[in-house]
Amino acid sequence: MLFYLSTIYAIWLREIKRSFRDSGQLTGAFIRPMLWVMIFGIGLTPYFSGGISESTFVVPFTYSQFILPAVAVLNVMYAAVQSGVSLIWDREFGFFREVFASPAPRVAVFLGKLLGGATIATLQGMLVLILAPAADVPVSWRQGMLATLALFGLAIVFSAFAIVIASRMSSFQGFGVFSNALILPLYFLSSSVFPLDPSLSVEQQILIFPPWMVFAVRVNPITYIVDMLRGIMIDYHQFAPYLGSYVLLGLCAVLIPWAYREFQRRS
Amino acid sequence: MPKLKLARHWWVIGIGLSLLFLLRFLPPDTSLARLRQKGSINVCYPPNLKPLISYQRVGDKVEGIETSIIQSLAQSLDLRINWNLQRDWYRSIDPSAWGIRKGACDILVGGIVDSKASKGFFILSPAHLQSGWAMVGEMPQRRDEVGFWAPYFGLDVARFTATSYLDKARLNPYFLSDPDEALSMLKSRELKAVLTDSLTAAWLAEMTGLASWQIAELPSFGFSLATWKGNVTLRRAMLKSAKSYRPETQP
Amino acid sequence: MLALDVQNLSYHYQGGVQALKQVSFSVEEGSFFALLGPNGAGKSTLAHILANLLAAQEGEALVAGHSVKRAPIRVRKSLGLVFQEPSLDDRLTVWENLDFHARLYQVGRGKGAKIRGVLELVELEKWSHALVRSLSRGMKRRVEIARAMLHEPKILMLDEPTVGLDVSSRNKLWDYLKGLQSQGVTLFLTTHYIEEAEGAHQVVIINEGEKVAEGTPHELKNLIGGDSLRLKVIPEGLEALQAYLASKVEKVQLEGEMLHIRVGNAEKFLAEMMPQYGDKVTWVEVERPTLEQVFINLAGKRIADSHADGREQLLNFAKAGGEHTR
Repeated sequence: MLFYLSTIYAIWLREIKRSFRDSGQLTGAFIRPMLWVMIFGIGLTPYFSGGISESTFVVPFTYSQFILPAVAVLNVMYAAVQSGVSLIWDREFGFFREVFASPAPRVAVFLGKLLGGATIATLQGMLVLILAPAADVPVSWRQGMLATLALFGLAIVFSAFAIVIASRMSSFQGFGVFSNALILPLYFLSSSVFPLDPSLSVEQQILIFPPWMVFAVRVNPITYIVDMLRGIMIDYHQFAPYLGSYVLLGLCAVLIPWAYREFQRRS
Repeated sequence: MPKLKLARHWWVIGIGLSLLFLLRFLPPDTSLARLRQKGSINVCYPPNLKPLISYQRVGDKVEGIETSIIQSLAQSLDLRINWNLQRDWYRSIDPSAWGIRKGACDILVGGIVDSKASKGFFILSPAHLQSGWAMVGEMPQRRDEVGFWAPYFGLDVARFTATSYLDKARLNPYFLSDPDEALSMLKSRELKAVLTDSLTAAWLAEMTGLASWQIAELPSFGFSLATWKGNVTLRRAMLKSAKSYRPETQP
Repeated sequence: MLALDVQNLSYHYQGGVQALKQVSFSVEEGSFFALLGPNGAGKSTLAHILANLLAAQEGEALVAGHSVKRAPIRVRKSLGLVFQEPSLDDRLTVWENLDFHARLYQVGRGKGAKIRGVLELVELEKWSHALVRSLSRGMKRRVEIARAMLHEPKILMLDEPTVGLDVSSRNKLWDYLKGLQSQGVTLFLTTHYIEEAEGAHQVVIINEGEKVAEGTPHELKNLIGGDSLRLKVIPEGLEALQAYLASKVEKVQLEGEMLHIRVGNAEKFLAEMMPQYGDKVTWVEVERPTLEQVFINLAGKRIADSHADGREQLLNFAKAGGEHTR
């Protein structure tokens, strides 16, 4: 048991150290919230702030408030995928050979990897919360804790997802593929940058947005996680309040065992 | 022991964190700067919401519990108050018919409930007054008519629960059109009782000498100041002054 | 006691490529064993099976008396591994890499002292807080050897440890390895460099997954008939010498003016011959057989480098600065 913990700790610590020493990844983690919250968010806010009779959509938030939780999710996704994907490199050339040839139990190695990636991702997600005052999102201690918990949940899910993908790939052409083919589509289709008006039914949404887009947003599980985070931070839900946490738990239940299976199969 | 503790590029983390902390103090808009330039603040308010706020023809002045928060805000920002009476505010059910124009109002005050419905149109300061539901007059019997006065902005859900409360008690609501009507009908005993918010109920009780009592089953709510969405800098100033604000009359 | 006992080991990759065919050999404890063969002969596959990174479909292997299949954890603990490709984390310091290893192998008590000890062994004490990426290739290899020794394994297994190193780094590495061997550690080496196998106590040559020869380097050389001896003889003495040689060895060849024979040991042979026929011989050429010749004799080809596969291409992509690969 102690050996398990010691292994988890060793792998976790390595993951943390590596991320902290990767200035490229760090720069991205800092720049992303600045771009999305300070430039995108503040730039678009006036377009969503009508008066009483001027508003097209009556929504209980400003645009900056709306986008902030989604940016936290974006930062988490980036970091989690980066950690998962580093597994391809580690496994093919290098470091994980040392790990897999050691007496360390695979479960512990897997958990260390998962938790390490998730910790880094959560920290990067929390960076976005620093900008909460600029986006006019008051975050109390309680909200901060809940938001961190939600981000950690997402980080676990996404790290597991990245491990599944990394385990199924034997070669890859760099991280750009993942950011363009995976993270950004999931992000944009998660009701992150524009709201599907909550007062509308699906039928009505289809009148405003093309049906394929409404469909894509609704099947994307990230939508419900972003929604949960909005519920915590700006008290706004598009869906039932607990739906997000159910989706998150469901994803955990599916992805963690799946990731472990793939991890073991390929190691 | 290892000399290299965690990060190698502490400066990246240092610069990143300090940039984020600096950026959060960047003014995200010009709402406060505009007011300072103008030297005054336009405060929009409804005509008669006694005792919260009301226009007094005699002496041409604005009175009420809610005026003090405005005065404290204007004082802290060193701005003149430009009271801007909105004659049609609360005249109909549809707020878009009240003629409140964005350009004419910097801040809105007067029975604006701190609720999601209000946030659909405004950004709000934290509630500076707490209220709830109260009855004033004599205990009504079944099938009595009970006056109902709660035209507050953003109260929608709470108003619905209040009327259904009357329904359940088999009381017939009589929708009053202003607080003076409530006062006169109570005095003349045309109405046995009036259901309204607890601040108004307290005022009516004082004016008529009748008893008032809280309805604990109904939800309580707070009143806030409102400004338009996007006026983040102005709202920050509102938050700051609200922290130092001590209400003179608190039930 | 046997350090390694490999019995009829076979392995084929998915898709049917057979990497090992019924390979058997054993290694004495405390000896220096070399597995010699060209790239793609199955050396790494065999090393990976012994290290439990691959599971053989047939056969059995015992490492320090433990079955690879039945007692994998014990096998892992008794092996120190140095892989063909660098497997250090280059964003961690030397110390952190060793510390990590110590945790995975439950080194536990006295961890710090042990790390210092193995660093002294490879003379890298001064570099313990340097990031691994700042070290030269030779130094990285030394760190890997230090790491492999950290949990005090019985057997040190090195898979092509000197590939890509310059001569002086190689020599240094051999000094460390011989030092370890003299302390009783069994050395298991896979290589395609002949010179490295020459110093081994025991050599197994494999080609295309099959064991083609086994023995001490000397025994292997004897397989091709020993040293080659060429004698230039004055015309008057030719007949007499030919007759003498024919009485000693099976085959005497006349190549122009030179007589060519193969003998087990040229010095011994000459020491016997020269007192009698020294005045007739004007030129002596001795050529000792090399393991290279042995291999050519057995496999009909040289031990040469083969093609780069997909993994090597990816490695090159990353070395060229492939984005975010690490």
